[in-house]
Amino acid sequence: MMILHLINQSPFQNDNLNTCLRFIESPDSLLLIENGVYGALQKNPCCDLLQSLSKTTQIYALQPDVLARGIHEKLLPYVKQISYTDFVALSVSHHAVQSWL
Amino acid sequence: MNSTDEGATHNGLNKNLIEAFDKEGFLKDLSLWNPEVAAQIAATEKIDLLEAHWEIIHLTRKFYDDYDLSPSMRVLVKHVANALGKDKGRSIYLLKLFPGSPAKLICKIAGLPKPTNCI
Amino acid sequence: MSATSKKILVVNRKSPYGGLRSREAIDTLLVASAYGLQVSALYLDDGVFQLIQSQQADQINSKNIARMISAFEMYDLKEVYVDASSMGKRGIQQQDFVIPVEILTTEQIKTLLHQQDQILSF
Repeated sequence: MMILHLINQSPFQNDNLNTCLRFIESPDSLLLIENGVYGALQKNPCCDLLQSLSKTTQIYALQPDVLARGIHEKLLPYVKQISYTDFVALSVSHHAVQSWL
Repeated sequence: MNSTDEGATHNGLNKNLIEAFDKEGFLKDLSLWNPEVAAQIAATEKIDLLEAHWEIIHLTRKFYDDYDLSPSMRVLVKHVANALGKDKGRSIYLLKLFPGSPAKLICKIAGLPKPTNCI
Repeated sequence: MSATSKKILVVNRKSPYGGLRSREAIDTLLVASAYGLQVSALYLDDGVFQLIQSQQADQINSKNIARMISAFEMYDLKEVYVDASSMGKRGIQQQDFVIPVEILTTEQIKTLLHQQDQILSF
C-alpha cells in the first residue's frame, strides 16, 4: 500500500523530516509543503538521506511554497515541483497519508 | 448520606451554586462536589438518591480518580460489572437508576466532566 | 458502519504536556474504540514520554496523560506500539511505562504503517 508522507516544517527547525526518512520506503512518496520545502534545499540537514531515497522514491515539493520563499534555484535536482492540483491527485492516488506534524 | 431534604429547593439549585455549573449543568470546579451538591443536582434531574445510586456514583468517582476520565456507557457497564457483579453491570440496571443517558447523568451527579466519548 | 472496519493508526510524536495534541489523540483513540473501530496507537519520538508511569500532572494542574493511557484496556484498546529507537535515544525502558506495550523496530513500524487504511497524526 502506498503512503504519501507529508512534511510541512523546516528540517533546520526539528526532526520531522529525519523521522519520516526512517520509515518511508518504495513505493511511498514524499511531498514537502509550506516550510517543509526547505528540506528540498541542496544544503540541508537531511540531504544525504534524501539523495539515497531519491533512487527509489519520488520526492515532490509544492511549487507555490517553493516560489514564495524564493528558493527555486537552490533545490536538489531530483525534487519534482508540483501544483496544488497535483497535490490533490497525489492524495487520491495514495492509500493513506501520513503527516509528520 | 440522605441530604436531599435540606439541600435542594423544589425549583432547582441554590442560587449561589448556579454559577458553579456550566450551561449543561455539569460542575465546573470538581473540588466543590460533596454528597449534598450531588443530591441537589440529582433533584434537578428528578432523581432521589438512594443507596443503589450512591454505590454507582462512588464507583464512577473512583474510576475518575484512577484514570482522569469520565467513563463512556460501555466502559461504565464493564466497570460496574467488575466491581459489583454481573447483575448490576448491565445497561438496564443503570438505566433504571439513571433514566435517559446514564453515563452522562451519573457523571453530572458525581461532579465529573461530561464524558467526551459519550455516544 | 461497514462490517469490515477500516484499520486506523493513531501516531503520537509529541510529549504529554507541551500542548493539547496528546489529549486529542487519547480522545480520538477512545471514541474510535467506543465505535468498535479497529484502532491502534503508535508512540515515537517525544511521544514515548506520554507513557512514563511516574507522571505527577497535578503539579502543573493538568490531567494525567499516563493515567488516561492506563484506561486503554478498559476501552478494549489493546494494540499499543512503541518505537524501540525513540526509547533508546531517551534512555527509557519498558519498565518505565504505565501499560505493557509492544516494542517495534524500524522495519516493523514500516510494515505497521503500510497495513493501515487511515493514519492520524498527533
